[in-house]
Amino acid sequence: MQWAGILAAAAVFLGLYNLFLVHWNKVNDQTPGWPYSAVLIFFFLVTLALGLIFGPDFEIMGLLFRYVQLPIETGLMALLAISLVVAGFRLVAKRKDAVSIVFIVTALLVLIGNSPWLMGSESIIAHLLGNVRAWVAQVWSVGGARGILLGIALGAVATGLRVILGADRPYGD
Amino acid sequence: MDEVRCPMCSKPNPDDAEECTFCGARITPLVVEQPSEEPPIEEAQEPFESTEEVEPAEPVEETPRSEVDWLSRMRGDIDDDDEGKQLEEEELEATQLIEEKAETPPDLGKTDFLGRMKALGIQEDEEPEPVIEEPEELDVPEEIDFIGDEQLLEDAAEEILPEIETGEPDVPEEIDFLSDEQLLEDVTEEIPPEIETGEPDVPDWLARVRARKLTDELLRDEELEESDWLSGLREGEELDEDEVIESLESAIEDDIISELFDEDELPESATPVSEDAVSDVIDSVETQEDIEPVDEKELVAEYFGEGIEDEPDVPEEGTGEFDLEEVDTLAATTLKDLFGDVELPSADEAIGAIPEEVEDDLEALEAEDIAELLGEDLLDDLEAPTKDIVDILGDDLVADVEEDQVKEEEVELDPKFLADIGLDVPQDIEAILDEELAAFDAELIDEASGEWDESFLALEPEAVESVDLAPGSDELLRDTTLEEADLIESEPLDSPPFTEVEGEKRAEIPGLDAVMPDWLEESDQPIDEELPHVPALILDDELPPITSVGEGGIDEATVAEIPVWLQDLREDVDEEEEGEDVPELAKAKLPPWLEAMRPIETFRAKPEIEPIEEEEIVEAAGPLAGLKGVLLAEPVVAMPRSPGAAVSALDVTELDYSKAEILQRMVDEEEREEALSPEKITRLPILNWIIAFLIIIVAVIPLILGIPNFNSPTRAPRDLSQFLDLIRSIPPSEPVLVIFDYEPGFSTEMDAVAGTLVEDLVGNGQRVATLSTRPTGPLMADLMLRNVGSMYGAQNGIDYIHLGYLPGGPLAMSLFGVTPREALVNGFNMPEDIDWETAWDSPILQDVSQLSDLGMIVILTANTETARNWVEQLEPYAGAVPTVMVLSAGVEPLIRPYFESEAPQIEGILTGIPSAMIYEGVIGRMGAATEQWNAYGTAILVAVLILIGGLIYGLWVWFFRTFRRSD
Repeated sequence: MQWAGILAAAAVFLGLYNLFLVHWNKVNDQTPGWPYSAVLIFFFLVTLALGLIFGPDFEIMGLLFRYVQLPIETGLMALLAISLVVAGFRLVAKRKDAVSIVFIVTALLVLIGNSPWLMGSESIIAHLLGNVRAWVAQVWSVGGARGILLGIALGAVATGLRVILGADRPYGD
Repeated sequence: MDEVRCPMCSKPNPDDAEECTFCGARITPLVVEQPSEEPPIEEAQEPFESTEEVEPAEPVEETPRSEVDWLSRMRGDIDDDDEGKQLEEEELEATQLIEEKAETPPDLGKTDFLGRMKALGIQEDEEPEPVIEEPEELDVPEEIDFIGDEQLLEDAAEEILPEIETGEPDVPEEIDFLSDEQLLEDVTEEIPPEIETGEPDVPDWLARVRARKLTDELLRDEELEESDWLSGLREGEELDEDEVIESLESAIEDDIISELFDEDELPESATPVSEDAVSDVIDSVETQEDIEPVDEKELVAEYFGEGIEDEPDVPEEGTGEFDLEEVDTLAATTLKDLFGDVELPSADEAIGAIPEEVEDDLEALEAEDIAELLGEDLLDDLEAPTKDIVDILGDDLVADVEEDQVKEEEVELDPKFLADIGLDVPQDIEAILDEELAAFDAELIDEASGEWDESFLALEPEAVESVDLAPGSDELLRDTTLEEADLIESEPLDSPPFTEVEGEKRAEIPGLDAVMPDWLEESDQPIDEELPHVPALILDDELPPITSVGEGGIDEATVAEIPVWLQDLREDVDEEEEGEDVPELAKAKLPPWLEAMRPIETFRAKPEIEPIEEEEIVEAAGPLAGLKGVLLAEPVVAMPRSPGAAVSALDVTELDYSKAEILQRMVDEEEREEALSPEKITRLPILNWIIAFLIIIVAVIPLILGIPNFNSPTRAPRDLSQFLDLIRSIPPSEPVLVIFDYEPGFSTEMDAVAGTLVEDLVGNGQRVATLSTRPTGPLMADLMLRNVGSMYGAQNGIDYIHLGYLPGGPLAMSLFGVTPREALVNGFNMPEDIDWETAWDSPILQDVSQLSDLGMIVILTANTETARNWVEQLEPYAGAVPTVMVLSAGVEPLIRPYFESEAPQIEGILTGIPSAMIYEGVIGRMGAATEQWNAYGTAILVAVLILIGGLIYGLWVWFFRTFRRSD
C-alpha cells in the first residue's frame, strides 16, 4: 500500500507536469487564450517553488489559499447557482415539453421544500411540501443516482473486458 | 585544297577523303535508299478506264518528301520490261507538249531545272543552308521546259541501264555527244526558235538512230502486237508498213488521249476531250507547221538504210489522226538538215548505220554556232554539280553505271577540249578537269542523255527539224560537247571558271571570250547564293526533298511545273508493278457502299507491315551499314504511330450537358471570393446579468441589513437527535478523527454545517485530529480549527493536530485503515515549540495505533464518491468506533441509504443549513448557519420566482404565437 501511495504521488506529479506542458505549448504557439495559460504557469511555478522551498504549511501558502483559492472556488460555486437559475429560466421559456416540465416542477419542489420561509412555517402546506421534497430527494433522486451509478459500474466493467480482450485499444492504433 | 572537318572529331581532312584519317568516321555521306513507308497514292491504284470516264483529277497535294519517295520508287522499280512502255509514254507526252508549243508562242521566261540544279549544287558546296533560287534567273522556252522535269530525266536515266547491261554497241567517241544528256537538252532548248522556221533538217543517221531506239523499245513491250514488226526489222525480215503505222498510231493516240484528259494542270485538259478533238489538235499542229507529207516508205528507208527493202507503201492517214511517221519524218529531216548528209561510221556499231560524214560535219561546226545552238541553259547544265545529277538519277543508277564503268572503261574523255577549240587552257584548270573527269561516270551521262535524246527527238520532230547548224559546225559541236560533257562530270562547282572568280579565270584564258556564246556569258554571272551544308552521312529518308527549296532541293516552282501526265506516268508504273503477275486484269474498284464500310485506315494497321520492314530495311549506319534484314534497334511497337483506333466522338446528352454546367458553375463559385458574412450580432447576456444581479442583491441585502428575517425551522430533522447523541457519547480521552474531504468551493455550506460540529467537539473538550485526501483539505482544516480554536482557546498540537494530506485515494484510505501510522508519517502545520517529531507522537495521537483507538470518525464531504469510499474502506477497520458524516444537501440523498439501512455503515448524518441551524440552536450558539439563513432563504425565493417567471414567459409566448396563428 505504501507503493501504491508512492505511485499515486508520482501520478499526481505527472499530472502536474502534463498540465504545465500543455499550457506551455499554448504560450509558445500563441494559441487563442494563451495569456490565461501564462498566468496559470506563472502561479504554478510560484506555488511549486514556495512549496518546495518552504513546505506546504508555510504561512504564505496558507494566506494564498485563504485569500485567493478559497474565494475563487467559492465564487465559482455561487456562479454555479446563478447559472442554474438562468438555465432553468431559459428552459421553461424556450422549451415547453415534458422534460422541461419535470425539471421545473422538481426544482421548484426541492427549492421550496428547503426554503426557510416554508420550513419555518407550521402550515400543512409547509409540511406537505416538506414531505414531497424529502420523497423526491430520497426516492426519486436516490433511485436515479443509483441507477446512474449502476450504469457507470456496468459500463466500467464492459469497458475493462473490451480492453482486456483487445477489442478496444484506447491508447493504441 | 579545301579541307573537310570530320563531323565526329572535327579534325580537318582532305576534301576528297571519304573517311576521317583520325577517327575513321565517315565523311562522305553514305546514302542508302530506304524503302518508303508511305502508302501508294490512291490515284495510281485506280484503274485507268478511259479518258471520257475519268474525271478531272484532284490537285495532288503531296509533300516534297513524298515526291522524292515516288521518284525513288520509280527510279528503283522501273525494270527492263517496263522500259518500252516508259519510252513510248515519254514520246507521247513530248509530242503532246510539242503540240501545245505549236499553239502557244515560246515563253522564254520559264526556268530551267538544270540551271537551278547548277545553282543549287554551288550553294551546297558553299553554304549549309538552302537558299531559294529565283526562277527568273534562267529563261527556258516553255516548250522544252519539261526537260527539266526530274521525272522525265529519271525515266530517261532508267532507260539507259538496260542498254548498259545488254552491252549494246558503244557509240563511238565522235558521236558520243549525241548521247550526252546535257548537250541534247540544250540542243533541244535551242530548237524552239527554229521551229517557227519550219525547216526540217534532220540527217538520216540521226533519224535512224531515233527509229532504231523506238523500235527497240517497242520490241520489249510484249503487250503490243504492233511491236512485232520492229523485231522483224531488227532481224532483217520484211515489215508490213501498214501494221507498223497502225500500231504506232493507235498506241500513241491512246496514250495521248489518256494523258491529255487526265491532267489538272493543263487548262485545256480540264474537260474531257474525245479522240477526235485530239486528232484535230494534231492536225492543226501539222497544218500550222506546214509539214510536208512524207512518204512512209522513204521514211523507213531513211531510218533503217538497207535494212528494209521493198517495203509496201504506207497508206495515207486521215487528217484527224496523229501521224507518227510524219513526226518521225520531221525529226529525221531536221537532223538531216542540221548535220548534213553525212555518215557517222560509229553509228553503225551502236545503233545501226550512221554515216561517217557526220563526224566531218560536226568538226566543221564553229564555236560560235555551237554557243548559239547550245544556249545558256546548256552551260548551266554543264555547271550543274555531279551530286545533283546523282540525286536526280538515283543512287542505284549511278552505282550501276559505275560498275559498268569499271568493267568496260571504254570511255575516255579528253578534258582538253578547250585547247582543241583553240583556247589556251591554264594548267590548273586542266588539272582540275583531269581530276574530276577521272571521278565521274561519263558513260552514265552519255547513255542517259543519249537515250533521252533519242526519245526526245522521236517525240519532237518539229523541234528537231528546226535546228539549223551552220556548215562545218558539226565537228566543233562534237568536240565542244564532248569536252563540256566532261565538264559536267569533272568540273567542281567551286572551280574557277564557274565561280565568283569566274571573270578572272576567263580573262586568263585567251580566246575564250571569243568563242563564249551569249548564253554562256549569261550563265557566267557570279552566284552569291549560300550553299547548303551537307552532313557526313545522310540516309535517303533524311535527304531533303529536292523539290523543296526550303529543304535544299529544287524550288517549288519546279515541282509545280511537273505536269500531271508525268504523275500519271508514275501512277501507271506503280500499277504495272502491282499487276506484274496479272497484267491483263484491271484493278478492282470498290463500290461506294463498300468504301463507306471500310474501317478507318490507320498507320501500320496491317500486321504485314513488320515482315515487310524486316525484308526491305537496310541498315543505314554503323558497322552493319548496307546489310538488309538487320533487326531494328528500336522495337516496332515503340515507334511513333498514330493510335490504332480512332477516337470516337463524345456523346453528350442534354442531361450530361446540364450536369457539366452545374459542375462548371460550382467550380466558378469556388473561385469567387467568398462574400463577407454579415457581422454577427452579439447579444449582451442581459438576462444573465439581471438574474445574477437579483440573486446577489437578495443574498447580500440580508447579510448586511438582516432583512428579511425568516423564522428558524420549526421541525428538526428526524436523524439530528441521533447524531447529537453520538457526539455526546464520545469519551474525552479518545481523540476524534475529522476528515476534511470537501473542496473550498463547498466551504460556505460545509463550513456552516461542519463548523457547528467542530465547535461542539472543541467546546466539549474533545481532541481533534484532522486529515484529508485532498491537497486543500489540511488548509481547510487548519483554517476552521484556527477559527474554532480562537473561540474556545484550543491550541494546535494540544487540542487538535493535523495529520496532513493522504494521497492515494481509496487505496490510501484502506492503508490508513490498516496502519494509520504508516499511511501518514509527518503531520501538517506542526507547532514549533513541541518536543515530538511526528503527529503520531503528539499527546493527541500517541495512544492511537489503529482506527479502533479513536473515539469517533467524522467525515466532512460534499462528494458522494468520497463519502462512499470512506465508508467502504474504513468500515472493516473501524470496529465499534462510530462514523458520522457531515454532508452537503446535494450529497445527502445518495449517502442516506448507508445510514438508513438495517446494518448501517454510518451512524449519523448531519446535512444542510436547516439542520445546522437547528444544531446551533441545540448547542445554543449563533453560528454561520444562522447568519446565512436569511440570505439563504431570499436567494431560494428569488430562484423560485425566476423559474416561475421563466415558465410564465414561455407560456405567454406560446399563447401569443398560438393566438396569432389562429387569427
